[in-house]
Amino acid sequence: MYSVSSAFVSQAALQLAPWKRKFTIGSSDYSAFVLGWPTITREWDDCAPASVTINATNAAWTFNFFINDGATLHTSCSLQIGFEYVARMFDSAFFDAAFFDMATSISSTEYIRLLDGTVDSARFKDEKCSITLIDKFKQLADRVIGDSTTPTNYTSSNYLVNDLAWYVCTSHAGLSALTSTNNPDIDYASFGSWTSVFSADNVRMNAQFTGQKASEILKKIALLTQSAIWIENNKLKFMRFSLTDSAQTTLGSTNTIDGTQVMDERMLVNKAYVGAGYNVTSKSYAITVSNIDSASVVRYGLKERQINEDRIWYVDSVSALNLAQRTVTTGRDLLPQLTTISPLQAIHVTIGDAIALSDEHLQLSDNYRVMSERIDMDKGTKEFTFDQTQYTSAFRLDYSALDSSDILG
Amino acid sequence: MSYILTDGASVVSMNPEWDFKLTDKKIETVHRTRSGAGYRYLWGSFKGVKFNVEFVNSSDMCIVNSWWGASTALRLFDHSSAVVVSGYLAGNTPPISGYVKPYTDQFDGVIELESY
Repeated sequence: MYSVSSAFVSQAALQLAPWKRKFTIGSSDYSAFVLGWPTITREWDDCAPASVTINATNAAWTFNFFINDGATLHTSCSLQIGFEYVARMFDSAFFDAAFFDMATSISSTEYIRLLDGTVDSARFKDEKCSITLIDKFKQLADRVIGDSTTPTNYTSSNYLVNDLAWYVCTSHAGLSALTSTNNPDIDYASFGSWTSVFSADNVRMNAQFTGQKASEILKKIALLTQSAIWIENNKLKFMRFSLTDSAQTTLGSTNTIDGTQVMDERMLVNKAYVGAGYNVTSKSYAITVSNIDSASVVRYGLKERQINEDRIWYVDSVSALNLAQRTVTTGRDLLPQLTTISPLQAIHVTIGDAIALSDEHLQLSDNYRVMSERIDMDKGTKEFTFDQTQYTSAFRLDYSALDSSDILG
Repeated sequence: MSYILTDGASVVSMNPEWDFKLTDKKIETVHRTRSGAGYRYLWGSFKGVKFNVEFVNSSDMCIVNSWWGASTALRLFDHSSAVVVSGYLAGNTPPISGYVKPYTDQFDGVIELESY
């Protein structure tokens, strides 16, 4: 969840919420020059840097400083949305309008920082300037690890998943290696919780990098561990979703503009194969483990999936089985995928959070986990994508953990 | 009606025709939810004024058209010296460009001011 106060949440819920948008370059506010605000998209398992384009007026040569000095492209910039809180010192009932205007002032501001980064490019045409921003995690995509002549090997010992992720982020991508919650790039609290999952399960990996980008490797780690690695509050956040979380807010017909629900059988996986012990010389896996959910096979037919990664891989069958079991557990039931578009009342709710959804047309009333978000700063809407593959409500009992029987009763 | 258009240095007096019109436009998005509830987000607004003028002398015509050419920040005062609109002369052609028949030293045009 974005870090906001309860006052922000109250303001955001208003049907006439007094939103403010801000575009800053360095310490200067260029909001007044923006002709079209961008849409910012984030997904649960992809930490590729977000890139957005802002169309601005350059009629008064406002942005010509980019032309005069190309280094100014590297100036930090931000996109923010939020509120300016007004302090009213006197009751307007006792003073005339002029005095009341004098007695009001902006007491504080509170903005969600949707994107912090630098300018990737600026294109000038006539009296307009298109400015493409890229978030501060650009270096995840700018830097490659190893090369095909001299690969970077992590094969000398068996590494915990979290240790490999840490090396990728810090040693190779250049993010801060500060091991405290003061780390400006990595949400260290979430990283600590994520670490404990793999330490407890003793899940081990090897890797050989031959020129892959850091963001690409992190995406492979997310796939191999069914983890969420995304950007929140301007930090890289790591999480493996727990089965249930309480809903942060409710979305119903009064605050949903549109909604779609998809049942897609291609999402089903009831038998998973995972390769382990990859041999980089022979390009083969010494181990392949599998896991099957028989009840799902009876219900839907066999839906198989093979997960083999050759740049980063599990070292033993126990570690690989962990992924195979998790893939089948989350893929054995056909669950709806939902997309909703709402005004901004739930803008602070983000990837990983749960929302209680109800919709008469779609006949649903349940909790769902947010898997991706799109914030349209121009229209003032937020699109959420939900599913329940990474969220099991209290009523969806994991019977396999009880007696391995698929039939309750 | 007598109005004054000024950039703070030069002053042009003008008498708008009765088509004088003040505008105020909201930059707003309106959302209707599935139950019909309305969400209106007001991001900003801008004011404007538009009116015809006739019998402008050549000196005033040159001043006004140069303001338009240089996108000079202007203020329009009404007869009680209150500012009606602070802004720029809009449009992509000079605001005062026609003769008032049969005179060759009197001009007409449209003053369109939009706030900045």
